[in-house]
Amino acid sequence: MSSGAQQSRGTKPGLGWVLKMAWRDTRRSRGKLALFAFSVIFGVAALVAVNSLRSNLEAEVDRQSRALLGSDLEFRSSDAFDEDMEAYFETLGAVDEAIDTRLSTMAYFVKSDQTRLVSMRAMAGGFPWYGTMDTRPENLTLDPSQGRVALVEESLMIQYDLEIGDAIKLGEAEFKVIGELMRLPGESSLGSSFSPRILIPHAFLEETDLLGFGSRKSFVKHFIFENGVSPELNRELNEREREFRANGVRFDTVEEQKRSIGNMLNEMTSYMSLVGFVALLLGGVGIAGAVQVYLKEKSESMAVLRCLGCSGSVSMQVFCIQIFIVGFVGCLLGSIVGVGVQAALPQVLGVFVPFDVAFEIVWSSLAEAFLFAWVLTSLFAFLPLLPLRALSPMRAIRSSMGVTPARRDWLVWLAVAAIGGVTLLFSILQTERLRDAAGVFGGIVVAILVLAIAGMALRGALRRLSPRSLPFVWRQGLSNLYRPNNRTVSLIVMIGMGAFLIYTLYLCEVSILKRGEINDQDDKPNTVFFDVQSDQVDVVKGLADELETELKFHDAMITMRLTHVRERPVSELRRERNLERWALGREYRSTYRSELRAHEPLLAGEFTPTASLDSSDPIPVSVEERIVEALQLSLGDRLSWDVQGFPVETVVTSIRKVDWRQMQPNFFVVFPSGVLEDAPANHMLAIRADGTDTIAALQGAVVKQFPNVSAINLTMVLETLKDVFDKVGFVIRFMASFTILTGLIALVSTVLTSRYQRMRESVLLRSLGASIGQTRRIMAVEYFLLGGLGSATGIGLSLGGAWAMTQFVFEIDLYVPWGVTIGSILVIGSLTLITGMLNSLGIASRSPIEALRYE
Amino acid sequence: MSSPIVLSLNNVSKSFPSGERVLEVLKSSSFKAESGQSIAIVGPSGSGKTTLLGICAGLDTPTSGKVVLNGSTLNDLSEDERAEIRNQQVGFVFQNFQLLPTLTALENVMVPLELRGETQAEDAAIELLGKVGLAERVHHYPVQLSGGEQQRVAIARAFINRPKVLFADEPTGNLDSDTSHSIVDLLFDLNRDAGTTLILVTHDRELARMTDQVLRIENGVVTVER
Repeated sequence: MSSGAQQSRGTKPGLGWVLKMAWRDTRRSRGKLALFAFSVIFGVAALVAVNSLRSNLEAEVDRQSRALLGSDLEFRSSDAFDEDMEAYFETLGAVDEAIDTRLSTMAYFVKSDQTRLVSMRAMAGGFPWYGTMDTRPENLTLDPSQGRVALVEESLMIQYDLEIGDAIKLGEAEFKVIGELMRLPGESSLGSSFSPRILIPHAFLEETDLLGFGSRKSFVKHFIFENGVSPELNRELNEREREFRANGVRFDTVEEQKRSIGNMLNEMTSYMSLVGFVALLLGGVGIAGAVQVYLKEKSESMAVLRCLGCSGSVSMQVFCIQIFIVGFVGCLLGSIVGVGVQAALPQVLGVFVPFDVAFEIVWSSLAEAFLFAWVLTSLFAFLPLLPLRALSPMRAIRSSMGVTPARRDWLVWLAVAAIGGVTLLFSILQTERLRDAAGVFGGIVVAILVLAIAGMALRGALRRLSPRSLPFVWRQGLSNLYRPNNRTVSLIVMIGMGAFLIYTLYLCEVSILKRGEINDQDDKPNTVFFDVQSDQVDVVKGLADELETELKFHDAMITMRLTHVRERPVSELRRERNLERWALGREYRSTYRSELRAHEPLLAGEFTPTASLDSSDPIPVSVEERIVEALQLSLGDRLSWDVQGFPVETVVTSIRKVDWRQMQPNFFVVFPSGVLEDAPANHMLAIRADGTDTIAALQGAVVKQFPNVSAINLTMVLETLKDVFDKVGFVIRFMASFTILTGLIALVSTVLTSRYQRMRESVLLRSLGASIGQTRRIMAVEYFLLGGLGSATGIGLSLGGAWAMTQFVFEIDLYVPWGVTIGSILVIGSLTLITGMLNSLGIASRSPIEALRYE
Repeated sequence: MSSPIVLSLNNVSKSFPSGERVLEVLKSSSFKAESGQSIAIVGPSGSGKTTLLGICAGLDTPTSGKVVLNGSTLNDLSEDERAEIRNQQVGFVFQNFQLLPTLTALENVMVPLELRGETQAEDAAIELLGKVGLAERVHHYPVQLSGGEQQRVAIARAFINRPKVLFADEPTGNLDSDTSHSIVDLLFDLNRDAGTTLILVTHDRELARMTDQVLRIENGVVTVER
């Protein structure tokens, strides 16, 4: 190096100057920097809120771990525990135990003369030992010395206008309401929406006379130990789990309960995190656009600084600091909004969670989300910044001197790779399954590629095909899309990515909600009586006739268990991984009929209407497709059953699809007529009654005569389901609103990036005599095509994305509302057009000389 | 006795790729500038004047040949090292002023000194702004100043670091006739007082006549006209 350069060494400006310059330089551009910050806010807010909420939930689960079960150990069975089990309980060494016998039954509210299906819980003992049973008035108990008393679910008290002292009839016994039940440890209010709880002292269970054949009951025993469940006992329980299950007994420990609640919460928050991440990615698109707009103005200042002796690295530092700080401020504001949202989320999610979630700022989670968002947003911001490293100082004297195109800059590719890496890492962390993560990541990459190809195809097609005969405005507008310095590909990618991400999310949402949509059509039954005994059927039918209601279906239900599948015993098949255990061990409630119904179309084989046990051939049965999948069945496979002690050999001769959303009696297995008629059965009668008064009168009449019969008012169930899905929908929409808000900001910043290309052209055209109207129409043609193609391609891609998500992640059918889909293409296209036109207002209305001077 | 040489170009060429061809903008050009001398570079549009100025000032590098500025061979230096040379020894005045729009007049003038890490730049900048007649306008932003005032700020900024060579690219190109005269007078006065070498690119024959030497550039070839 020569002497002159050596003399000048050691004169670099310090960090102080860089900071001062970074601050000074923002003076005329704070609006654009604010756009950058805004692009970040909602994505960060969503991430911070969900991350912190997840920590709150985890902490709460840890804190309340024992209260989640209320005891140390719980056994459940649908039959009363046999002598062996009772003997086993004696050996456990528990310090105390409690009984909880649960029945689905009808409650008759004497004052209002109304009935309702409820979950009756007959309880004895000190349960819960951990956590509290919340009642109003407080601290109520079910001490049998109080006589026949009942604690009634809060919602039921409101619905039936019950007061303390009112009478409720359960089966043959009458109970006096002593208060409201608010919460039991480990149970969410969602669980009791369909069948509200009524608690009574166990001592009066017999008096209800509801424990007979056919009633739906489960028996629960709770235990508490000196020092919780010991490791030895835990090991023993796990070793004997298979044996318990074979006898229809299940158990839960605090750890099991914690794990299962943890899994449920994890699934819930993973989806929400994914939504937050989509918002952040969209924000990234907005940031790249906003920073590009910002730097477009700054490149000349940067060149001047370089002329004045500022090194490339120092001038980069000035802009890097600005971007880091604005990104930091955006993330900080996002975090503050996120903390606010975090405080609101427990109210939104409360119904799904079996405990109150205390609001608490979890600094580690907040910092984690903040840092992650800051890194990602900075990487996005660097994409347009990095090429400026190569900006020639010559640009100060010759504006045509540009920078190396970004695609040839290895550091830009490194930043792209880092964004990809961070996206993949986040996908893995959120989905916790490599397959799903690869799917999410691959989907995003494919979407970018397809959009880029669509943009290039449009550009190429216009270059070759643009007709010379078109009017000037159209010709000019179309050729803007392929002329040098056009931003066709990048704008289509940005608009399309926004449309793709938002609409994929929307399609997933409507598909999830559609799954829970149940048809309440005029010709369908709206009241179902079940647990009707064979000798009660005619009386119930008679009562229905008297009230001029219409019997839609009558099905006998026979309980049975599988003993062999393809002539191999179920006990042996339980060890096979490709078979689903629930289908092997469950108690099947099957029916017999001589025909199939409209909502259960045949998928394979032929339904046999009648058969006889006298024949030596196995009985031909029709099996539902889900069981076929669970047991890997095919036509001709043998199934052996234990029908209440009587062995029956069957063969699969047809496979049915059942629409479970239809509120009608649905069965996994349908036998032909002539086989099960003599087996002990319960009956289910589905009736269509007009008006709620008729339904209430029929229910009342049947239940008063046969307390063992239960009734479901399907209209009420539909309303409850709708309420639940409304709540789920609200959570989904609440989170999706973050994505939509960010998407709008990203759209504005994307369109802003094209402003500078168009400004000079418009001004030149006007100086050549073009009217303001003509320049606006030229821009309109351009934005209309960009918005239309970007949104159509993005939404087209989202159909594929949503299909993959619904098939592989949510495992549900994709539902596409075509009207909304086409409407969305038009809306996003129009929004692009409107944003573009609003954005161009200043350009078009400016005098040419003023704009040229500004340029 | 002749003055020392502050800038020398020896067989400097510059070419750019243009499609599949190579466009030679500057062809084997050589000249020398002495300390305190003023040189005008003239020639028709597109003849390579701005390219030559950029290479002389270390804003760009030649494809071949050697450029020595005050003893430093610019070809051998990296862009950052050339930036240091520009900061220490070079001043610029541009046709379109090129003030930083977000900085006041005072801050614009201070920048070259601040880049050196000097902390007492403000007094020198205020003094210089006073010399160019803008003592009352120091806190104004470029957009609040007329074209002539902006060019005065640019001149003050160019002289604040006491450059060895001042490069001016069409310094009056964007100004009316009256303002042009006062700017030219200011430029030459300050140049004379500071003993700076002035190299300017101009179309203005009257302005070229005021310099010690005129270099004509045509089709990339530099010849000494006067």
